[in-house]
Amino acid sequence: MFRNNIILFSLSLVAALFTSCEKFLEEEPKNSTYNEVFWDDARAGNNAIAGNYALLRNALMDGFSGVGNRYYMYGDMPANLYIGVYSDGYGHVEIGNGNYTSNYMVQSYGNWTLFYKSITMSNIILKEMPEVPREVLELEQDNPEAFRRKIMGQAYFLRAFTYFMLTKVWGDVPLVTEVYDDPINAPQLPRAPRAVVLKQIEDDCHKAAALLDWGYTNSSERSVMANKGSVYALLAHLYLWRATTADLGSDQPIMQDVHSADTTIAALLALGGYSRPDTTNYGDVFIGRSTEGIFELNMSENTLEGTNGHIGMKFLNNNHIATYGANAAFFVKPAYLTSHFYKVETKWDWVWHEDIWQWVWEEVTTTALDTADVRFNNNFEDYTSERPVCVKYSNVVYRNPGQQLEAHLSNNMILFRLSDMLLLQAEIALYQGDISRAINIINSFREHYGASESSLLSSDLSKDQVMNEYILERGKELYLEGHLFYDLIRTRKCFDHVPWLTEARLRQGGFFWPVDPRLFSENRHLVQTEYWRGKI
Amino acid sequence: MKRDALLIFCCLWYALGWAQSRSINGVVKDEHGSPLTAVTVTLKGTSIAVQTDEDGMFTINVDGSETLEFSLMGFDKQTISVQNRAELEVVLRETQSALDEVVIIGYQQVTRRKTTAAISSISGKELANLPAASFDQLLQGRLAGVNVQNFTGEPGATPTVQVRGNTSLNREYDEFSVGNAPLYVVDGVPQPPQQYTSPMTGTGTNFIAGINPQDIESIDVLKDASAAAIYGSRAANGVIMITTKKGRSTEPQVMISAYTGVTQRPALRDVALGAEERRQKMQILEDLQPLRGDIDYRNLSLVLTDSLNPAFNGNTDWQDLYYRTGRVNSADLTLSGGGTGGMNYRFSAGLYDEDGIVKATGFKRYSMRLNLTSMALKQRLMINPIVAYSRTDRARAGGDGIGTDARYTPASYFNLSDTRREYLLGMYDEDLDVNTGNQLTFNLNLGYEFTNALRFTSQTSYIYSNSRRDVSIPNAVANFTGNQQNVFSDNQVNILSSNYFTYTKSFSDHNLSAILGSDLEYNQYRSMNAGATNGASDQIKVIQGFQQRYLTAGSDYQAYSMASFYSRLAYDYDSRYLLSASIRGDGSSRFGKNNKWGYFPSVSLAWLISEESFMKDGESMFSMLKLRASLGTSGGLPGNNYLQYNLYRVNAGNYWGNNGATSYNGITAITPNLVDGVAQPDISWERSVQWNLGVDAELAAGRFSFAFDVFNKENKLSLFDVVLPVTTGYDRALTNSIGVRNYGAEMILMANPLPRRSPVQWFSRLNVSYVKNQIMNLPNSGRDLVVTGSRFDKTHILSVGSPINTFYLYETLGIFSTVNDIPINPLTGQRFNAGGGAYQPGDMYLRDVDGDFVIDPFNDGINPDKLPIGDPNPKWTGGWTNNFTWRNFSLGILFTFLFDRDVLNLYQSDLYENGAGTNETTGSFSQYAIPDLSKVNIWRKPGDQAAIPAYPLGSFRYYSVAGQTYFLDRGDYLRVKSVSLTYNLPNAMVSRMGMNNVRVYGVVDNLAMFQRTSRLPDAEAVNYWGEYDGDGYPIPAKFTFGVEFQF
Repeated sequence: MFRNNIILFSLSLVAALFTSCEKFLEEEPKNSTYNEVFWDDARAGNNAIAGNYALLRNALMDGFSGVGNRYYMYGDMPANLYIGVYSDGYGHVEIGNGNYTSNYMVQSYGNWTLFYKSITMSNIILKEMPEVPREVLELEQDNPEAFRRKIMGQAYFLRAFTYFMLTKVWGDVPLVTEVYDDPINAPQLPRAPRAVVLKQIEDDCHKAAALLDWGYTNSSERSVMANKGSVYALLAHLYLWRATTADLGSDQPIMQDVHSADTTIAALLALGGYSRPDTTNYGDVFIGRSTEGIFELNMSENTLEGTNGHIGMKFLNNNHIATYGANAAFFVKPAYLTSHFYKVETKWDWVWHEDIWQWVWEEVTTTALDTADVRFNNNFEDYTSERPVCVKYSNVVYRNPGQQLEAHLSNNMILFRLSDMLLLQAEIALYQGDISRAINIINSFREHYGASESSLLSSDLSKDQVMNEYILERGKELYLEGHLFYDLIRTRKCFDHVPWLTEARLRQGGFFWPVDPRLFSENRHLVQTEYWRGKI
Repeated sequence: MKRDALLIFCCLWYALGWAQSRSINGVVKDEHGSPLTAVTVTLKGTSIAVQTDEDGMFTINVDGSETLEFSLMGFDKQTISVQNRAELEVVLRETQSALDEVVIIGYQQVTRRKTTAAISSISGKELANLPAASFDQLLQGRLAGVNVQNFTGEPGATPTVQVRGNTSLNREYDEFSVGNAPLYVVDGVPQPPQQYTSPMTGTGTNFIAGINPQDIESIDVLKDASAAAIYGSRAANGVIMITTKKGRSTEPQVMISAYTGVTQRPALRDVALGAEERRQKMQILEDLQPLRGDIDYRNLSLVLTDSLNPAFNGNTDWQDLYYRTGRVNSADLTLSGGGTGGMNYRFSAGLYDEDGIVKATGFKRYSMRLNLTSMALKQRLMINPIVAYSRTDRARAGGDGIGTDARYTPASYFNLSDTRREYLLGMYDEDLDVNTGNQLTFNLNLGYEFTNALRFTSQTSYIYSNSRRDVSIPNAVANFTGNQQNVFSDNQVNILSSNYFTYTKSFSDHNLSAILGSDLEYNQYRSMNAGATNGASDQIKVIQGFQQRYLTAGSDYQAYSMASFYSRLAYDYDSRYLLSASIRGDGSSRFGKNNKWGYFPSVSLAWLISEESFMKDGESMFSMLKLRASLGTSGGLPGNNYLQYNLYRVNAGNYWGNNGATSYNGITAITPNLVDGVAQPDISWERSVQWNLGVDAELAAGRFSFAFDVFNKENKLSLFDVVLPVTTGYDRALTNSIGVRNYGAEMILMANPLPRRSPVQWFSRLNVSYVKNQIMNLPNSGRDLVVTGSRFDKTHILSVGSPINTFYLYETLGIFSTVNDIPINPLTGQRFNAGGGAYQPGDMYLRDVDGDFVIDPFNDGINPDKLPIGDPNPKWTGGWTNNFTWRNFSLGILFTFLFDRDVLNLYQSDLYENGAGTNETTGSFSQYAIPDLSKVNIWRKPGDQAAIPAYPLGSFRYYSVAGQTYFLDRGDYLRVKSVSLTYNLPNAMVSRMGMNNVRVYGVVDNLAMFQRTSRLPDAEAVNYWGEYDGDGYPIPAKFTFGVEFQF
């Protein structure tokens, strides 16, 4: 009897253990948050959008060993007009020759993976944020729906911005706007035509603009969190890019897009509340958060988000950073300085006249370096040397100040700013045939920055001459801000300034980057960028 | 049971004693003359029997029959005719037969005669008193089917232990990988695996090094699936069952044993020193200067040319700085005994202390184990608590090996400045890298016998372990940025409750045994780490007084649980036809709802041919002949506890130039884990299906025996990363996507070749295993995968049909002796070149596989000029044990061997890698040591038929492409692993000293090495990937002398 009881007891014990198994076999992670619980939090949107900005920052700053900074490798380096390479050891100089075929280049700058991580994050926010219950948001947000709109607006903007980067670099790119429930079985996507991508960007911008407001409710968000102004700036760039590159076979811009850009910028200037700082504070613009900043990525040491890999540091030597050598890796091309910052001088000199076969003492005009321009003074040093130094980004902070070690640069990545918008108006005016408006805008810049009066444009210049001056003005204003190569393409001034980008190559889309061949091995729908087929 | 029978027999004897008065006295001893207790003495043909007492004495009354039979477990039976003698002295010999030995098969034990599975066993006696930090190292060459490679000589490190081959595939190279570890089960308790820390995070100490080899009674390795399937989801890589010693119910016994010895400093590499090195370097520069435009004498480093500078005219042998002669000491104390009522105990305490041959490295273990057994409830309830504690202490000198690898050993002519010495030797102080581990094990085993047939066992186990590492990096080592301090601490709790019924019954010729039970297991792991840099004083060896912003800290929490049930049914008819079947179901918290439970069945059959009547007729030479067959499934668990969750990445603010960024604009950035964080509710169990055919035989009462097994093991649905579409945002996800097949054979031959009566006895055992593996399928439609994460030149490939980690190499055809040897592309007229640089005389000639007259330098992915050549997996492994005894002497010799393995000799490729820079600023040729060029046939001028190509001076040439067959060596070796000589003091002398036994012994570990290639210093010191880079820890020879007392 006793024995049977024990058996029964034991068996029931075993049975009891089994029934409690299901609970026993659940272990929830405590070392991180996860999808099912993360969004059940009023603050989740803030952290997620910060994550989205961080992913974009990572994508724009990444690159090949020792240099990185792909935003500038795409936007400034290819023009071969602005940046000289003293030493990098990995052939970045080839980017300036339009040669993107080396393994190092094509595997790093030809790879778009990081951009899709930023896009995925935007997609996740756009999927999850609408589903966060109002009651959850109410716990911490005074105005839950405004909060929701603000987060989603930024997500639309970031997705649009990222696609705009992608399409400017590669042209046709895969288009994904959904979150996959099962990424393991997600489809491999082909490249979508540029026009479709641009349309998506435009749509996202419109959605973002509807959700976001002008100005900042919180000064800590200035410039580094996207607002309606950021969206308009992106839209303006998008319209001009589409106007001039939608059909590479033609050099005539699409006027409808030009007008859209014009009205977009007009609205931005009227409602955005941006203003140019006094020229004495010009240098602070590139530290960030100035009154003229429209969209920047925060890279400030104030929040320990500075970097020791900033493009600016490539130009600095031991005069600026104690641990660096005497020779910086990159330098400013002297020809850029003399061609852009010029003043016209007249002087008397002997001149040989072939026709009369003699020397004549007469007045001649020459150009000289205009050192008075605030931008020149602020941005460049050692300009008489072989390798001038760019100090536009040189807000060095030592994390170990005692020993002057661990130098980080605390300069935000400036993406859109007021001067950029103002100058674009000149380009629009030229497309619209309003040459005098363009001349006024360019002259207003030269006057504002104290450039030599001799460089002011006279009203009798041709449209092409003004466009030339416009490109020089862009070059002066936006040196090392990731815009100049695209400016040259839009205005077709690349034919004058970029030897490798011939008309034939531009017509074939030969300024777009090739795609890392490793991406093809997984994706049979993918095709190589047209110009590069058979070349990689 | 036995005790009851004994009681009855004794009563009988007394009853009969009155009837017959002739009694015989005697004593039973073993071969050494020690009295034997509990020998059963039976009057032949009757049921009358007695047992010998503690002095081996017995008294028996003979009744009619005058023949006595003496039997004792572990000894050969003996029959003696009394023939009117009243006093008998009987000597029993230890048996040579293993048929009655028991083997542990998981929750049960059976005799070797009745096993139906492939099991290798070894007795703890073979492992005793050998100088090794952990017992797994000692298994090398001693167990068929178990391949142990001690690839490093660092005390306390983990060797590679593979049961029936390699099954683990990795996309990334990991220098510290030891491949697939088997499951260790100690006294029925599966040990938690070492899954949370790598050698770079925690203490890196071998997690089973806390077990004192002296405490081990026996080790059984469950190799085939029919044996291992009872451990279900964790058994795919084999199960190693360890049984620790228990007390025996005798008089209290005390054993003390101790040994001490030295570990030998390794031979240093050949280098030219001082002025000779400079002369050799200048000579080679002079030889090659006319041929290599890049050598510019104007830029030569002062270090080379200014021999009068006192800073550069030294004679320093840098290797010498790091090595020393080590010591090894060990001491053990054991108390054991028993009392009435079935109570017995064993307590042991041990100390092992080994100083490494690299300065400031070593391993210490303090261990303690108590095993108590008591019977209650009328002998029906067994209570068996086991308590064990161990502490390990390991000095690691920074854990980075020594500062003299092939590439970066400084040139000898540098005189060592104090600063430089501090920099190089700064970490070689035992106080600077302290690694401690503590492990407490508490087991409570309860067994209740309901009837003779039905028994209930409940086993509760609690294992608590913690480890801690404190690393202090002095200012000088940290490039004078201030001292650094790192602390890592973790603790792990593993709780197991195992409850099962066993039923054993015989119905005439039908024998039945069954088991049914369930296990619950819970494991929790927590860790904490903190680090600080830019400190103010080397004296501070804790994290105190560091500035806030130089502090980092983190902690982690991991937990998993598992519930299991299992059953085994074994049936045999007349002990001739054996059948066993088992099934285990495991439910794991690591899987999502859809796949929580996995089931692992197995079945095995055996036929004892020797029990058949046709074999029993007449004098059969076989005391046993058995055929076995088995088929079964076992499994594998993913290493990650939370695969079913889409874990987010918090503090995801990192970007180019700021890896530590946590935020965007000061707001904590949170993103999904976009690398491999896809939630995977559908992931399922890894499965391994294995069949095994075997034969066991024993001849001439155990004088000879052999076992032979063939097997095929297919790991299916193994977890591996698949690459996801870029547009998902994720890089990769683990899926059940690969298959690996291991197949092979094992053989054990045992013999006692000398006759039984010979004064010299020789026991010999040879075991040989052959295993070959093959990748059956890979993810992403089986495309080849080049293993990443190693050095610049990727040297391993995973390819369907090839062995795991096959080398991926250029084929070296020779050395261009003259310019005429270099092919010219007939279409372009260009000379054969590598990535644009034309080859020159003296360069390596690599095979141009795709025939484009260019060697493709593309190193990251599939390369048209590379081929999968060479298999880093050992195929033939084994050992040959020999024990000779003569009187009180015994001599043991163990050979271990490995055949058919390819090794990539990276050391050889690195030796000549420092020639790129010859000028003042980047003059690596002048800064670093070179091999002694007077001893090698190196190419110097056109026409030379050299063994070594021209020194790649002045430029980065493709000379030192490590991935070429030139550097592929044969890894075959035969090692005289262990030689031991023991002398047992004569009994008479020992008794006078009041002791039971005294023995003295000497052991030489790693006495000699015979290897195929002379280019490797030690063919065993090759890592899991089959690579040797000279940066590891040499395997030293050890010489020890010891003594053991028993009283």
